[in-house]
Amino acid sequence: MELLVFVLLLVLTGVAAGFVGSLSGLGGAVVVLPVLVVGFAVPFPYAAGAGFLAILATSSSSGAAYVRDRLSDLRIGMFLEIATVPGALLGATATVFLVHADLDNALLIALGAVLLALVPGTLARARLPPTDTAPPDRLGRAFGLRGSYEDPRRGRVVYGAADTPPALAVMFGAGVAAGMFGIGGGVFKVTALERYLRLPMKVATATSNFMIGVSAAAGAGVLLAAGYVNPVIGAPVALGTAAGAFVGSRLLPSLRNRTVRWIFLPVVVVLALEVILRGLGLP
Amino acid sequence: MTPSGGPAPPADGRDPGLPTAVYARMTAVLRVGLGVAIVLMGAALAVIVGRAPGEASGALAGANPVSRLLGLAAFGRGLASGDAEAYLELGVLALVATPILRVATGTYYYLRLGERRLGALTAVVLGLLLFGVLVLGPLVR
Repeated sequence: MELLVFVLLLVLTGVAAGFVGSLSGLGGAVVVLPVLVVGFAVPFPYAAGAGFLAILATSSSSGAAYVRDRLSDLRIGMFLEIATVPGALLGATATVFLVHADLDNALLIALGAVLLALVPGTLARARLPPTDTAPPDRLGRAFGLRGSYEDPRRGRVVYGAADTPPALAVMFGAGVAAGMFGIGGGVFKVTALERYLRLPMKVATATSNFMIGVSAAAGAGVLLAAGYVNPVIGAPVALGTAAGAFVGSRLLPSLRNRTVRWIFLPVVVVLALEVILRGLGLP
Repeated sequence: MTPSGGPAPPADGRDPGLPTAVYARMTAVLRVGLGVAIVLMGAALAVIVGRAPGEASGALAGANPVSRLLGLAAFGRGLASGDAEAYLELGVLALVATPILRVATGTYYYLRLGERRLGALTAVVLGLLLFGVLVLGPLVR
């Protein structure tokens, strides 16, 4: 394939991934990774490197808007990064070792399994009733992990970090998955923020988005220094994803999330199965 | 401070240690970082593709064409000589550095506002991020 066509296709892949990723809530990397592996025959570690760049672009873009609007809880987000960052460093280091041990196919099978695991989580989250907020636990009180936001329907909603230890454990696991596969792991993070810390959905989504960039930076830093971030692949994907996510976030209020999910999730399932087949060495 | 050592609850319940100006500063860090990365990556990519648009892309997908720039000295020489690949790598570095700068901004403000616990915690996060790029990555290369 000619270089110009190759780069343009990568940009378009990024645009599509950023667009559907922002509408579905799964994030752009979930589309980018399997498409790079299956469609462009990119080896796993370079696909993961490109996934990180896609996440960094979207997180900085939409994250800035959430921070500006004070929807992201900086205090809670930065507190939980103490769990996600070591997890991401561990995951990215494990990936480098597995690649050095020629276990790329095992990583592909694991990636396919993780992508499949995201689907029920995303569907379950869509059906969850709004979270009842709770006062902060001991750790939450010690670090002042509480806040409030103005809800158009419910007025001022006050919340606190209710059950911090399990949330930290889930965040560590989400960090490992993010660092290992080049995904954002937002579904896991939002679930922990809602289920354990009992944050309202909007705050949980915005705070997760704010945190995703830091775990991606941790994973990307390791892969970049180890030579597995190929910017000729990653940069066009990141540019496209940022543009797609920007458009998607503008359209989001006028579209039904549920409809988008039902259209998009089967595509993720097919891509995940393709990745597993590739990992098994089957056509 | 409360008897438990944490910051006093805010009057409006919102993030007690961070005034609006800090949110504005964090927003600016994210926007400027992303803007710089987009300009650098977009311009460098245009130069690389414009140089040989018909070149076969096969080799690019299976290897890293900028791996020769991984060392600091080689990267500096590439930038000084106007090497498009070096500027593409600089754009990627700007993208990766943006959340790290955001953590550094948070650490600075938490410490300045007297929030020692959160300041120390975010300083550890910052240290881990730098450890990943500067030590762990080169170590496992």
